[in-house]
Amino acid sequence: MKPFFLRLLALAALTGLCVVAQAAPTLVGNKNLASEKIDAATVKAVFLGKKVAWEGAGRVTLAVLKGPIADEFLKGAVEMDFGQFNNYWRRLAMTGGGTAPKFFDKPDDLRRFVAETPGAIGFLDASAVDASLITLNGN
Amino acid sequence: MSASTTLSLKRAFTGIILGYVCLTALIVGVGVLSAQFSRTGARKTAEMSELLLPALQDLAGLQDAALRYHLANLEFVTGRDEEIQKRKLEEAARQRRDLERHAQALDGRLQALNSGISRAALTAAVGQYDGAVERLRAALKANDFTEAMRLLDTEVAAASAAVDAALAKLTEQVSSQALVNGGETSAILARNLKFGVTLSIAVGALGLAGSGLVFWLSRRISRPLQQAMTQMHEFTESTATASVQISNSSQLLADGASQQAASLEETSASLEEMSGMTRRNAEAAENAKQIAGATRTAVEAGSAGMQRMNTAMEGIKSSSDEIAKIIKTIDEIAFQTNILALNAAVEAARAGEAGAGFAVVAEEVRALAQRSATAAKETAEKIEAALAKSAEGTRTSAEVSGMLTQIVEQVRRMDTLVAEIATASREQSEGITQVNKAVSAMDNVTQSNASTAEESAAAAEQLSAQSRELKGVVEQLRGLIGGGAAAQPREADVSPAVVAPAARAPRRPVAHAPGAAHA
Repeated sequence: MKPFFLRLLALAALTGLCVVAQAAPTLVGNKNLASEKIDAATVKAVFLGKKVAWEGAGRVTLAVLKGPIADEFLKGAVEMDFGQFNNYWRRLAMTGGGTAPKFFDKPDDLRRFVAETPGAIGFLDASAVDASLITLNGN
Repeated sequence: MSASTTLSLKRAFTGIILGYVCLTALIVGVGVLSAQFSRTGARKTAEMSELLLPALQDLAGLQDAALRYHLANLEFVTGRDEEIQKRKLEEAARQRRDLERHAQALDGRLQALNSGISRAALTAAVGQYDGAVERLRAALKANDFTEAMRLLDTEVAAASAAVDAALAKLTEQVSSQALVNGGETSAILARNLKFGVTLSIAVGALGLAGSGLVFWLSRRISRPLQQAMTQMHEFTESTATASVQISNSSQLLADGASQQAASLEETSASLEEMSGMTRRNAEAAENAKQIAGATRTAVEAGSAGMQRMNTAMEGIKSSSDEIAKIIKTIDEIAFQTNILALNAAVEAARAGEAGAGFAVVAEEVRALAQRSATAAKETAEKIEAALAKSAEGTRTSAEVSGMLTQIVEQVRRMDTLVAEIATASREQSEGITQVNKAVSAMDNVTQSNASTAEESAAAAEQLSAQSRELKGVVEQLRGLIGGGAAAQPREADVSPAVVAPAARAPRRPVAHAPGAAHA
């Protein structure tokens, strides 16, 4: 019994490592967000449109990268998959409830947009992060 | 009713008919004009009810479909999840089809109305809206919510407003058309009503005038008619009385004829009885005649027998005479023998002894002669008696023969008489038969008389009933004309006398033809 349980635990840990290695979404933001205090609750409020302005960095602009990485990030941040998130924002945006996120197909485009837009916040694969933007830990 | 009345009647009826013809023509004219107006009104009403109102209905449907289409699009935009979005898309497509259907229907009606109203603006607006929605959907698909929001606020909203405006304009146009139509219809109806009222008043006035004229004429006509009715009533009364009398007389006649027929029948029966008796008489006479003939024959035969007996008696008498002669001869011979015996005895006595024998013989002969003489004497006496008796018999037979002859004579006369009786009886029987035939013919005639009388009684009764009915008809006519008050009084004086004979109609069954038995 014991060896089997141990083996199972090891397998789970391995699987988790593999996923992290494959796609590790990293929360990124425009450089003007450096002074903002951003924890998990803030991330959730921002991505659900409940918080539309930063404390000192102006309006919140969301940037969403399409693809499997979006699912992974959104699960962790707002407990939604991409489709649910999309419908949530569509409803919110089309009823005037907030400024809709910008959706990007390519990481480069997102990176550029976030780098150029003050108050912008988004996510990228860890490998795509560069110095044009800051990484937010979101905890 | 005089000729002048007839003429005036004819004139009056002609006038009435002419008046009614004019009235009818007027009414027909009114009817035709009314129908014309009604047709126009009906056309307008049909346009209203079959085109304008349905067009408004179509427009309402169109507006409804457009609104729902727009709503479905908006709901698609804000759909919570894919399933709802899909459903809303389908709903939008359905509403779009509905919209198109209503638009097509409206097209048909607008064309039929031929009023120049077109839904081109609407079509354009809907096309614009469709395009805007298409773009909106594309934007949503691309997650470009900003663009989508922009489209929604600008193009889609503008197109929707354009559709609403086009619909409102169309509705306004059709409504104003309907208003125009309604105004025209009510104008036509008002005109029709005015015309109808005017003409109705005219027709009513004319009808009133005609009725007054007819009333006056009927007053004029009914008076002579009433007089004629009164006369007719009197005639009917007298006819009824006369027919009752006829009926009674006929009934009496019929009863008399019946009685006569009964008497004749009795007579016929008596005659037949008499005829039978006469026939029996004739038969008896015939029988008597035959019996008399037979008697005569028998008597004649007896007479002949008697004569033959007489002859036989005569023969007996002559034979007796001859026998008497013979006996006398025998007597004489006996006498002579006796004498001779005496002579012999004498001679024997003389001869003495020698002659003694001879003397005995002579004595014997003498005794014989004497016996013979005695016998002859007795026979002669007997013959004498026989002779006397035969003579008496001859006499008696002669008497009988005479009597028989008389009987024959009487029988012959009786025979003749009986033959005469038979002949008379036959003739009498024939005469009675002829009388019977005559009576039978009389009976037939009487019977037919009786039935004729009964028929005439029935006819009289019918006549009476008819005159009663005629009276009733006259009463009705009088009532119609309006003079019925005087018609009631005599009603009961006709019926009972007429009804009674009908109850006693003893149609005697036709008797058998008397005298048929003789034929």
